[in-house]
Amino acid sequence: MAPSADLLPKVDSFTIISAVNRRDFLRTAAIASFGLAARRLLPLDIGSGAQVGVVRSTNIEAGVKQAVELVGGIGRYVRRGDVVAVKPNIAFNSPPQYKANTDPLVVRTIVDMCFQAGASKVYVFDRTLSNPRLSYVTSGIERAAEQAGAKMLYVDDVSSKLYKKITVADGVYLKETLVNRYILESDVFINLPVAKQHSTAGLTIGMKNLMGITGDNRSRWHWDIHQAISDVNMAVNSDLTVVDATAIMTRRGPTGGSLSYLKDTDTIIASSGVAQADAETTYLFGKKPEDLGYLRLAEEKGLGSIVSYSRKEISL
Amino acid sequence: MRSGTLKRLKIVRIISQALFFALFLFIFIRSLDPFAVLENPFLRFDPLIFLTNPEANLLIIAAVTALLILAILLGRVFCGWICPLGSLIEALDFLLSPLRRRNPIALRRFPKRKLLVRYPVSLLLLGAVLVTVFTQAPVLQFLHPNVWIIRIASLTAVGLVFLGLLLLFSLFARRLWCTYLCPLGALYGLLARLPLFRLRISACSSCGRCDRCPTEAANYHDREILAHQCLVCFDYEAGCPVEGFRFGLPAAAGCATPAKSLTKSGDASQPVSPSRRSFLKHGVQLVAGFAVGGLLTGLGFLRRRVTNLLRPPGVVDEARFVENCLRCLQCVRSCPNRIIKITGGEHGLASLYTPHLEFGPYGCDYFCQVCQQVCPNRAIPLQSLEQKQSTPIGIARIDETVCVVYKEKFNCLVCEEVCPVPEKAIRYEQSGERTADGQPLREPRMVPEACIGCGICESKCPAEPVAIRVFAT
Repeated sequence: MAPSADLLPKVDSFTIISAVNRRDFLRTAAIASFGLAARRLLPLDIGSGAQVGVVRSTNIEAGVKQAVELVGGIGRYVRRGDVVAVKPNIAFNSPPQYKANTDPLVVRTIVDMCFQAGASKVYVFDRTLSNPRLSYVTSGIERAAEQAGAKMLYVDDVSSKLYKKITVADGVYLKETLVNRYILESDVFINLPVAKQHSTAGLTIGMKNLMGITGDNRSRWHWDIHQAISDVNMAVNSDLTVVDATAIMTRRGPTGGSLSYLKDTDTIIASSGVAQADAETTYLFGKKPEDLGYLRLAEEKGLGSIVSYSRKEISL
Repeated sequence: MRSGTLKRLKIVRIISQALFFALFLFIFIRSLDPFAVLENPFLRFDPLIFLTNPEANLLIIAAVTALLILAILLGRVFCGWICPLGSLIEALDFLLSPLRRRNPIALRRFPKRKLLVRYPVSLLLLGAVLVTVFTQAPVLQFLHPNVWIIRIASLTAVGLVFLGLLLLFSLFARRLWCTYLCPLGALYGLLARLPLFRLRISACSSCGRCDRCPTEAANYHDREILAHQCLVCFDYEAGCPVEGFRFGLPAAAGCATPAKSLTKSGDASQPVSPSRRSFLKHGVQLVAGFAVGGLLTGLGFLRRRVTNLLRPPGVVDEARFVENCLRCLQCVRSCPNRIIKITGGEHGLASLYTPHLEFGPYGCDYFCQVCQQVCPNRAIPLQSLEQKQSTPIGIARIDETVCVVYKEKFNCLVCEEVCPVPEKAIRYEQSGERTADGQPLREPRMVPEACIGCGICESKCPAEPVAIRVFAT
């Protein structure tokens, strides 16, 4: 099912949307459609808030709310009438306790917050590795998202209806890639990763989570995974990243499957910059941002510094 | 019994058939949804299929006993009132009745029909089923009405051929399958011979109207109803001009004296009932069926050929599986990942129509047990999740001549990443070699004792052709 046209910005006149330009494109679209979204004319970094907000809390709901508050509050990202695409990590048919997927409570809290900020529609989806229906149900995310009023989408059908080929500006591994139209055509894109050890990429957090927005054969991306991850993050930028690091999988990721692999870290990290969110999360694993190839590439390519950024931290 | 009562009983029977057919259709349609996870009661609670079911829980035993007691008490009520295939046959019979009347060689006019009446093949088939049910010859599987109705509903080729056969049968006689062929009907027929509540003729004007009995159970010449053939349908009894039908125990029914024996011997004290006469013959037939069953088992073409097929999760005893699997293909229809496929004849007749695994975009999901939950007779054993997750389906092997890590010297490790086993059945080792950009090369290695053959690695391997495949152990 394609997004209903009246809710989404018109994209017909644009054949190429690379999302570094996505912001510009949205601005243009806003100008063209007269005050429809006048706020898009304003520079985004206006208002208060740090680049990265870190909350230590055993209460997931409060943690998510506080973390977003630290980076300017949900109102900075979601305005009245917005269509929001939320992309948790739902890669596997795995129950929530193993933390292979984003915690359903994180998803529900974010969806609630979007609606409270006036979102007209919230879509939640991931291109799963396991069977999509099984994964949506077992992860608990389908129930949580629908309870909060979001619409779960199945995006495993790689059709032109669901995916659009975009050119990756300065792409090294990816010159072009198929990207989910709901991501491209929504007003706001919120990235909701879970933090896990990952055998090929080192860690999977926010930047790696964007592998789920593509229609490509992403197994192939593993052949040059750091380039592929940084390329897709250059092509598509999330407005807000909220990392579920309530308990992190420290071994045998990304599937895990044993509670003994988990470490309670009781942390939620929010950032408008995905590279900074990931950089902050690496410390929980006892690593440094520079340890991850894709983070080094992100900084090189202009996604912001991964070592010096403004951060606020609170404990609840 | 008064005509009004008999008419009402007929209507009640038709309602019962409609309800059970609707139940069957509902269950069938619901079971097309992989997430419905429904056990088919028509297969689960069946006396013949019960013989193939390693799980004998109280519910199944109670239901099977109830069905047997029903047949002992009231005759072949299952056939006339419940059986969905029987109802379908009755509908076909009704629709094709104009053609049947015009058919010059319809069974009723067929000169040798008496032969069929005296020696219905069904008993022979029942005998064969009772023997082969404990062997690998798939006889029950291709004779059971409750499995055939599923094959017809699934619109499988073999199901449609069977439907064509039923249509052909309908041109000759009503309820031909039920009367002469069905082994389940024969089983209930055997029980119906016990003289309890049965339909009997208590008065007769020899008008011959009961000739319309669809199974030719009523015979006004002998003034007797063959209980093993009677489907308790109350289809024509209301037409009896002397209201001569009684339904009850033998004493209460007050049977009429058979006319034939009177005229023949003139001795009314020793009437020889035709049903009693046939009893011995039918016994011989059943025994002959045992022999046929034994023969079929002994025949090489039905014996299992050694296969290298991957079976659904939990199947550890291939021989037992081939023996018990009903070929109802519920697992094929229910698998959420669509990896259970139908086996053709290439692996021998014994494996024909059994399910096997072929991994596509997905492997066998680590947390999924749908095939085990829907298998009606537990030919696919129902395990605990922990058991399922540790029972090997097969074993994965890496083809180092195809794997890009070994061949092209660049890092991949998708197989290791997606392996769902917590301790990972694929791990990597650094051999000291380096990739083109100077990274240490990480070679995937199998940990055979940890591998459960779920095929997720095979389904996600980006190499072409796929460099890791699951093989039967």
